[in-house]
Amino acid sequence: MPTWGMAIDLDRCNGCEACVVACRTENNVAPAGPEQAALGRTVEWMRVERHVKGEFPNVRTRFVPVLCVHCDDAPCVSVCPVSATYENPEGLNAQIHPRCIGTRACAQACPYTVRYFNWGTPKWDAPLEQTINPDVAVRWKGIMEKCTFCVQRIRRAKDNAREDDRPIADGDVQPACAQACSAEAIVFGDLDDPESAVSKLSESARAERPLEELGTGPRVFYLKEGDWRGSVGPQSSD
Amino acid sequence: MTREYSTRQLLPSFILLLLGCLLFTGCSKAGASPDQPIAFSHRIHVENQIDCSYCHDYYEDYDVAGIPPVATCVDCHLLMFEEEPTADLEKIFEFADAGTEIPWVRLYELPKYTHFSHKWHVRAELECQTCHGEIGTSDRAVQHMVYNMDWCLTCHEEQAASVDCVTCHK
Amino acid sequence: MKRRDFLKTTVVTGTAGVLFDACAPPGSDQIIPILIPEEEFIPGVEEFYPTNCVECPGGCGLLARKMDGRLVKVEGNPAHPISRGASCVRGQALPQAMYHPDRVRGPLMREGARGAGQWRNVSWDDAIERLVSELAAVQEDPSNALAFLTGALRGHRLDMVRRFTSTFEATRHLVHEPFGDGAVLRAHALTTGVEEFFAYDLENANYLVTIGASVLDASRSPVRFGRGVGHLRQGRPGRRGKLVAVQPRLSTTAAAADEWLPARPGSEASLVLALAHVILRDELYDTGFIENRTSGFEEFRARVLADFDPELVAGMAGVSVETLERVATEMAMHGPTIVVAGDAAVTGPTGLGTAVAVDHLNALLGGFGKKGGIFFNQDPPFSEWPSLETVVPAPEALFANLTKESDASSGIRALLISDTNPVHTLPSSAGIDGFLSEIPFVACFTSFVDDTAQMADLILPESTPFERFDDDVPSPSVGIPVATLSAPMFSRPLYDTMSMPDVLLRVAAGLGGTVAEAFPWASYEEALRAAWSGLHAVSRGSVTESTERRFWSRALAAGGWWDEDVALNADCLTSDGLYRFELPALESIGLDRTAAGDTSRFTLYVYPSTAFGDGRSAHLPFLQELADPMTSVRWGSVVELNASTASELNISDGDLVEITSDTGSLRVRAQITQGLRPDVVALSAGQGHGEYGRYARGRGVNPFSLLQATTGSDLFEVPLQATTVRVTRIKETS
Repeated sequence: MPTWGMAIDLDRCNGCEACVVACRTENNVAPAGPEQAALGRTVEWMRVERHVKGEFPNVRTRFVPVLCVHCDDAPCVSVCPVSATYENPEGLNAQIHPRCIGTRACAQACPYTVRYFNWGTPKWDAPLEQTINPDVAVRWKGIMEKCTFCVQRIRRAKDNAREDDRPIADGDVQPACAQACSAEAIVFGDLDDPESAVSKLSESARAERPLEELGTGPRVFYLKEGDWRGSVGPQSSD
Repeated sequence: MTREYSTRQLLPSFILLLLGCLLFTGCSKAGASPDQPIAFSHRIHVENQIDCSYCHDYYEDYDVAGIPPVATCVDCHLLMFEEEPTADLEKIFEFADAGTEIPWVRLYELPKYTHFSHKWHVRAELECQTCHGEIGTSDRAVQHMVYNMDWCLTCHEEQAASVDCVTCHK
Repeated sequence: MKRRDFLKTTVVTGTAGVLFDACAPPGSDQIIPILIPEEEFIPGVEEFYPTNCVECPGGCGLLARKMDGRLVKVEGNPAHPISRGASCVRGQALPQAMYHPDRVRGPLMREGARGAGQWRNVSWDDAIERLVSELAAVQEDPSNALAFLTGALRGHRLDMVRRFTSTFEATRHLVHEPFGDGAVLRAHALTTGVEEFFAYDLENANYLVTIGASVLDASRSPVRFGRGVGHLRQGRPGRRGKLVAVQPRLSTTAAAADEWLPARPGSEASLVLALAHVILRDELYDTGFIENRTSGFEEFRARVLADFDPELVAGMAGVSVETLERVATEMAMHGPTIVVAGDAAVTGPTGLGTAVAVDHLNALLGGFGKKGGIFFNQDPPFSEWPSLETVVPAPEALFANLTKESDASSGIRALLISDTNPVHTLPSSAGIDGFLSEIPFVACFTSFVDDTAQMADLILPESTPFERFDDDVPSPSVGIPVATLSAPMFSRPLYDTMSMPDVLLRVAAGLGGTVAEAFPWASYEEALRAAWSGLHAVSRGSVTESTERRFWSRALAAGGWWDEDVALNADCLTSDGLYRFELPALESIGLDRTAAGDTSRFTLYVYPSTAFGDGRSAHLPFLQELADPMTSVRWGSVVELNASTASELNISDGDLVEITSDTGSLRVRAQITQGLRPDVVALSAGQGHGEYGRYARGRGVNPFSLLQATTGSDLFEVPLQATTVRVTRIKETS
């Protein structure tokens, strides 16, 4: 049984945000519109944060794609009064929409701020609803939603593997964000498989898990930027 | 210490209880049988040795079972000469000639936030009747029962199939 | 408590929404209506159709995912040499372009005055008839000319336009591509004889310097560069390359770079030659390449050593001598090194000089033809269409025409417009409105009524790439021949639309005579297939088949044809085959020290938007909702001001300010940033549409309205960093 995880290489990421829009179209995340967006109510399962340090002209910028890190010991799971979110046997932190009653306690509890509430009914001006992906539920007003590691793609890959009577291979499952990324910064796979690309990246000297000191047990690894030291010898890359 | 409640104060609870009762009975929709554009009888077709898969030909390999296109009906009925042709039989050809599909009214519908695959259930050697009842012996298509999660879970637990939420929840 | 008991309890206390959804009565129609009824599909089964993206010059090959008869997602085509399975924000938002509520659904003829936005629906027969009669009038009178105004088209669309225009006696092909990097093409032609964008072997390079081009966000080929730079960074264990960005503003590219050199706008050419100076002075250049493959080196060296000492350039450019010396040495010692130029830096008076200087710097570094360096484009071996004894008009820059000629529109009787929006992306002072008003008949091929289409007499609705046959030859490419191919993925277009080449075929047939003879095909599909038969004939590359019919099917299924076995080359096409250290273009570079002067005026820097490009993707709600990577702005515009500049002007973050140039003014919210030169004010292109659908209309501001239409430029683009502005605070945020 795989344990799903992800590695995001911040040295490859260039902040283009292809992952943000790919996630939106794959998962039927409707835009909030100008008024609601101004209130900070944009739902963005994957967002790219921009961290800037320094003063002109010595400005350092880091782009960080932020999504649900599918904690092993998730604060949102323990705080939900109706168990609308739980950790499944493969490590996914799943959101069950019909159970959610919209207390938003999970959003409060999440230290990564990756849970989003539907303040209104998601709106699609006809015929934009034609782009809705039937593999993903369309949510409704009053419930929470967040990144699912593209569980629908996991489901499809397992289906195909079962059909062909073979195990799932590394690379069979690519969440929308990983697939869109031109810099190949996002890698997804089975952390329990030592040969998988994500496992190897998670062991990099540059790898660290966000806010792991909080004990959440995140399953997303961020690989820090490397350094160019003016040679073609070994540098901060692996 | 005793407390007394006025009717107004108790009203929300009554309403909630009423709604709950409705739900307990599963919305009383088992047995529903909407009118169809053509009075299709499963019984007649089954008695004529037509297997479920002849019309619903996707259930072995796909998520959906499939409703046959009008061409499937025409294939046979064009060459059949009934002793007592009914008006409904003529309707087949009216639709076919107009180039439109028969607008069957959907009988079995799961909530849109769920995922269901006929393929794996059929390959687990479930019979159609297990979920669809004795539809093969009925003249009118009747919804056999209400599919609530409880009903699905009972079988999944008994058969040691997955009870992980995301197996079915999208 | 067992799970099911728990469920019964929660269901009782659940919300009404859940109750009713879970108990949907049988027969209730909750299915998304199928807009194209003839589509046959099996619910739950996904199908992928190759298509090509035309939103930017990158030319990514894509796969469109179809489910339940609908387009639901777009991915990169993993086999395509440009995209290799990846995509960008604009490609990902494409399904919204197909199902946009404001798509033009059938031909429209103007009612009322031009620009009033009143249209009546007409049939294609009526539209074609009108086109034919207008163009027949052009043919009748030799003083009447046809003009076809396009963006930088590629593939056989371009060939169709050129062929069509050539069949008229008096004819012009006008081009308007605001961020088209036309100066780079001109420079390449002068130095190598190859008037096409270079291909860069980024995957094997160690050092990449970009002079002005936001290669990772919105310029030229962001997906290909994203992949290349990602690999340059972390794709080779033990080696990590370096990216240096020379731009006045911290773009996403500069932010992702290892080093940002905020050079003064207009100083880029001098800066590049200062780097060349160090390399020449310290003899760090590739002597083999210089001695054997170039001409004019001695004169070039003398000139650069004399005039472009870093000591002279540093102050003017705003980059220290130490930095110039260090970067130049790094470039020479830690190659392979590639230098790229683009965007605002290659526009304006020093634009061509900058582009030529960058070519020379690459020559000094010996990158041409070497691994990790620069290669030239190789065209796919298409079959030629039957040759005509006509003259194809040379493309003219619309902008140059408007600013140079007193009566640019004289003689033009009919104007056809495709793939460009000059009313939005030209300075108003250039006179585009007057130009259009002088032309008796204007027709526009477009899927949406944008600012330019609003001024047309006839709108011919285009099918989207998902609904039409089309091909593309991406440029810049990757050094091997690449041709993308797409076919309709639906049984018919969503609306009553037609692709532009197919309209031209019908018009040609209607005109008869020599025009009709020039187009011996019943459809554009047939024309494409004729051209693509050449790719079949060579029997090599990604698709080889025994018959042409099978080849065509396979190429359609694969999404194109490319040949990865072709040897890359950098063979100059100059008369002597040598790289030319051309000098005259460098004359325009002055070491002008007019930095001092009116400190109350700032240079306005206009750059392409990550989400909207030059504005052509602003109609898509997913992209309006996207937070800009550097400003975080959604659904609007901001002007960026340097923090110290803002405090001097007493402007706080979020204040409404007025930006005024000599030719216009606009009001917009200010955003304070450290990522901008103090003497520069930055505005993104893309917003401020007068018309372009409900999500873009009247939203944000359009910086083109401020730009000065400086004369004397015969290049393709508007100068993007040659306008100075004043900035005044209007009122504070409450």
